[in-house]
Amino acid sequence: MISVADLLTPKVAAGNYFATKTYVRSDVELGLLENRSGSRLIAIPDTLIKALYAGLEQETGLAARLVLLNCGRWWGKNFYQRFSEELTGHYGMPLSSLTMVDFLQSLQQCWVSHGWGTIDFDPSYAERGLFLVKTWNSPFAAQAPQMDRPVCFMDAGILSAFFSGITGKSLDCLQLTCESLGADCNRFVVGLEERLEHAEARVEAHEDWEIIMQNLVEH
Amino acid sequence: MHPLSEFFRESDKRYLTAAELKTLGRYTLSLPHRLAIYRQIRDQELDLLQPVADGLESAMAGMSVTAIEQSLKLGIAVMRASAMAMLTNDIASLDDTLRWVSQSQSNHGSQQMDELCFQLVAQQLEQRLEAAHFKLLLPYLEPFQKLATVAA
Repeated sequence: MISVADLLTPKVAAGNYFATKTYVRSDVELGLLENRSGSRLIAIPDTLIKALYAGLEQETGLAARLVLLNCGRWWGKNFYQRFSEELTGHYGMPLSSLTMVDFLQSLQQCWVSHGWGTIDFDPSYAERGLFLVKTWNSPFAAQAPQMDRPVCFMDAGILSAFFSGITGKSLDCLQLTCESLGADCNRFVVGLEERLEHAEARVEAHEDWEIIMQNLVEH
Repeated sequence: MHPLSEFFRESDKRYLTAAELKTLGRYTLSLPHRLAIYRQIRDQELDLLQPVADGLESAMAGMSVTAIEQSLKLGIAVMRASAMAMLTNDIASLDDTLRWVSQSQSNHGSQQMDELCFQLVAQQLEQRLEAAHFKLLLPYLEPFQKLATVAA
């Protein structure tokens, strides 16, 4: 028999830590945004994102994508650390005690509350060592200059650092489809660097994402 | 934004209309009832939920305890969120919980069991609350029942 009393403890019944209304707090007089653990948040206007793309393009040319990817990796690395600390504090238990499903669901809510759109995970390829991640309404895609290839370099950097943090392995992330090119969502594949290295040329050649994934699974 | 906050947005430009004052008055008059409902749910949470757990366990005999507990945890979250939304008359405050429940159902594939869990929670509340009080609470429970129906 299940005892509800055991479920009503703060640890077990701890709900959605990243719920937007409780996670994001503001102090108008001080002009501050912070999260529920007291860490500062910054709001980035669309203009700044556009300016980042334009400035980097002008200063670094083709290397802009690499700069953004590396910025994303740094961001993601710190983001994973803060995410882990906050979740551990909320549930009062180490992250390793959380199920992967609960962990990823917290990440989904966290993504929304940070204004990065929505995110979902497709486990179909997990057994083959590849994570397929889908995002929608990414501000980095919405404000990106029109290019002939996927443009969410920052998101890719964040995801590679985040999943590297989860797995403890150095993982890379490659964007397969992009909303800026009319796709239904932004699709990313996360995996070991050596497995993904040849897939980038396929993305640039506009191969269908399912064919690219099939190829990655087979090799 | 909280519906009551809407009333004060233009307070420097105009007075509230008769209809707005009527809405505000209705909420004010309902507040003692809302407080009583909230207090009853808070004080009887365990008594309310144990029959839900028993009912769910017996209806879902083949399911693992972990899966049933996961559904019950959602039931707890839903009841708490609905009670607070009813108290403050703020249905929009349910949005975060609705998204959380929807994601959980998708991740765990637990729509059918969650639907039953929410039904059992609603049944318990209907049995324990005065009829008028349950009627006041129902609009804040329905979004979760509809969510389960849509998902199914």
